[in-house]
Amino acid sequence: MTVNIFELMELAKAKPNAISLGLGDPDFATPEHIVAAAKAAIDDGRTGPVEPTGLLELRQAIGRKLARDNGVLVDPQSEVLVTTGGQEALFLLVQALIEPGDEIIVPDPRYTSYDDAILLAGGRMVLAPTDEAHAFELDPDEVEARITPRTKLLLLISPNNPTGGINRPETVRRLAEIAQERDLIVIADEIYEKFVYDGAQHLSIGSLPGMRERTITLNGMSKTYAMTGWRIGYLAAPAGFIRAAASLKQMVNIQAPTVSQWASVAALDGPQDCVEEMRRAYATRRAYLMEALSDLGFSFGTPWGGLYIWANVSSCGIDAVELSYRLLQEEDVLILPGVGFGERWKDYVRITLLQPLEQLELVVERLGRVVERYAVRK
Amino acid sequence: MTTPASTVERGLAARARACDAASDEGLLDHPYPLDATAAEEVNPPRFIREAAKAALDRGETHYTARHGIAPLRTKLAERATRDGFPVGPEETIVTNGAAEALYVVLQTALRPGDTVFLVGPVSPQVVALATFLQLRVERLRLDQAERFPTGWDSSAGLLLVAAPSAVTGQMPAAPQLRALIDRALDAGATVVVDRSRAWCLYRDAGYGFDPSLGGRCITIGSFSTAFSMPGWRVGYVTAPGHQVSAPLELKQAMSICTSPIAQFAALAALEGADVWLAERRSFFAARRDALLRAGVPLAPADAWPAQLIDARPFGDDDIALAAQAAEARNVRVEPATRYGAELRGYLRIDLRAPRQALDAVAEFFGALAT
Repeated sequence: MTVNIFELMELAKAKPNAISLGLGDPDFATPEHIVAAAKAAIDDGRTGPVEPTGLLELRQAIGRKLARDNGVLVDPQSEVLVTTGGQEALFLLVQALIEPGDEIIVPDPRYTSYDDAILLAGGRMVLAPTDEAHAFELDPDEVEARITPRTKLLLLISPNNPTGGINRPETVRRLAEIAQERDLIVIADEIYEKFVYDGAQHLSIGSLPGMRERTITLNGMSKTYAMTGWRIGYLAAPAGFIRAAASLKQMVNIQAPTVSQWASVAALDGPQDCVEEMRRAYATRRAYLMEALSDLGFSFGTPWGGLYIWANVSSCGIDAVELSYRLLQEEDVLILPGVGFGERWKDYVRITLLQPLEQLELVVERLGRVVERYAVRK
Repeated sequence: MTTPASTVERGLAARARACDAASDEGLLDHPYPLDATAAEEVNPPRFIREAAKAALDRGETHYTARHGIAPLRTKLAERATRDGFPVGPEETIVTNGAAEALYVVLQTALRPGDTVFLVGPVSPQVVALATFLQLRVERLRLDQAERFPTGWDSSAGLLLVAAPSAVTGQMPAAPQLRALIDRALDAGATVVVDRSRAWCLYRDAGYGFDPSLGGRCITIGSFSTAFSMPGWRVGYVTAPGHQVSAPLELKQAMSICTSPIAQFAALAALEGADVWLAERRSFFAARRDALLRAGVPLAPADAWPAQLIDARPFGDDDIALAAQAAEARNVRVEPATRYGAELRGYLRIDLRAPRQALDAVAEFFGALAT
């Protein structure tokens, strides 16, 4: 049987009731105090247009958050831009920074939705490999080996989508040295920063000496506060970068939704217990899936962070796309095959932690049946 | 080691620097004591706000389908079809406002060096966007159908026409619009009709576009003005089947989806549109008529809230006249040449402006007349 990812996606549309471990959309509801803040904004009539850079109250809350949690110091007046989700943040940045032919170093595997933005700007993606043996941590030597006179940007995604790999503090420090030595601008996508496990640590590269002026920190509300539909992301960067991205923002969709911005103020300034509760739930699911997938014969680099397990299914002898297709067609479970995250990842699947444990138990049971049915053990 | 300034300078793409400079006017604009060009903040009607809160209560706070929630797309497609632009829900994309709709269409329909034909006066932001996309901009009058040569490469040009115009509030004359679009389509150009103000027509006599042409056009639109929802960021694209996937893919790559809270609010807006829009029509017609009675020489307009003042009897230097209004009455009016040279001698106001600002405009013209 030969199937491709497009057939899989078509089948997924026809099975809306399947258990989805595909999208990176948290199954938790947005915390109540955040929803209440949105309703209060609506009731109070705080729904009108705001500055293209974002509501000042939100930019100030972002400034406080970055100082408190990340040690990144910014001026909310000029060094923060609120965007319509984290993905738009990267889109604007790339359009503002990349000249045709410029190179951007991107960890591989990668969130391929970023590809469109880079290619649209005429940029050239240079992939820095990561691997299972090193828990998909970015290797500074691999980065350095790929720097050319056209290299302008280094994209760091830690914790990573799809691998769950993180860059440990010592790695981040070495990457910072390289960026300064080779005059690179760093985009630090920290959207999964709150979800690290088993004592792993997240370090923001923008907090390191000499990095403030060359780091663009990208983050958002979607994952941390289960707010994917609210469409709020942000950039923190030197004022010149923010000004350029804001000009583009104003042209491409004016501003992020106002009600969502008020809700985000409540998210950042309000109680953070909800985040820790979600993190603990994800940690429990992660531990369960790691054991269960190992029992099925799958391997993976330890996902020290993020919301995904990037599992190597080659031991079953089934192509990962076919496995995903069979699982969806016969057992109503959606997972994403690795080729959706880079051409060379044909042995891998991405499985999210974004279903309750009882659903994950069902998934493992059904996955086990498909493996049993079709596996040709290697 | 580089200094911060040089890092930023080296970092920015040339087209971003150009765009940054071009946007200065908008970003650095300071308010006048009285501003007759800016909308007084009005909330959307209660039924729209309640729909948004109901969506929150239902937990509609996660990603939606990339092209938008199905009931909203269905309603938008029905309305487009009724107005002469036949499409189905699958040919409809909900966007983050009309600006995003225009961006995804221009970016995917054209390549650098291609031409965008802008009909009549347009916002400087549209020109700035075209410049950023490295497009050639050609300004057209409605009666210049002959400007489209036959036998074009279909990707080489795009005609953008607003009906009605957000700048003047005027609907293009139907026979000329038909001739222009017909010629542009025959020449192989993409045709985009901006219907952002179509809900704002004073006469609710239907849109009446010819479906044989409308079925070949892309339309874009917005909920912002008609339903007082600029901060909610809901717009749309409709496109013939073969033209819908590229803008959808770009929209997905850029912003994934539009906030479901805003989408359900927009759905409520459509479901309750008739009563609300009738109220708005009456409100703005009353404001317009009051200005006319006060002797302000208003140009004819088919839609609210943009309103031109034909100030040519007082001289054709609209910039000087706007400065005179600021000096004499502390009120800001826009020189309409900002939107196109053909508007020399016209001033522009917004009927959503504070009442005091409109009164000041009336006083200014009263004094001029005497």
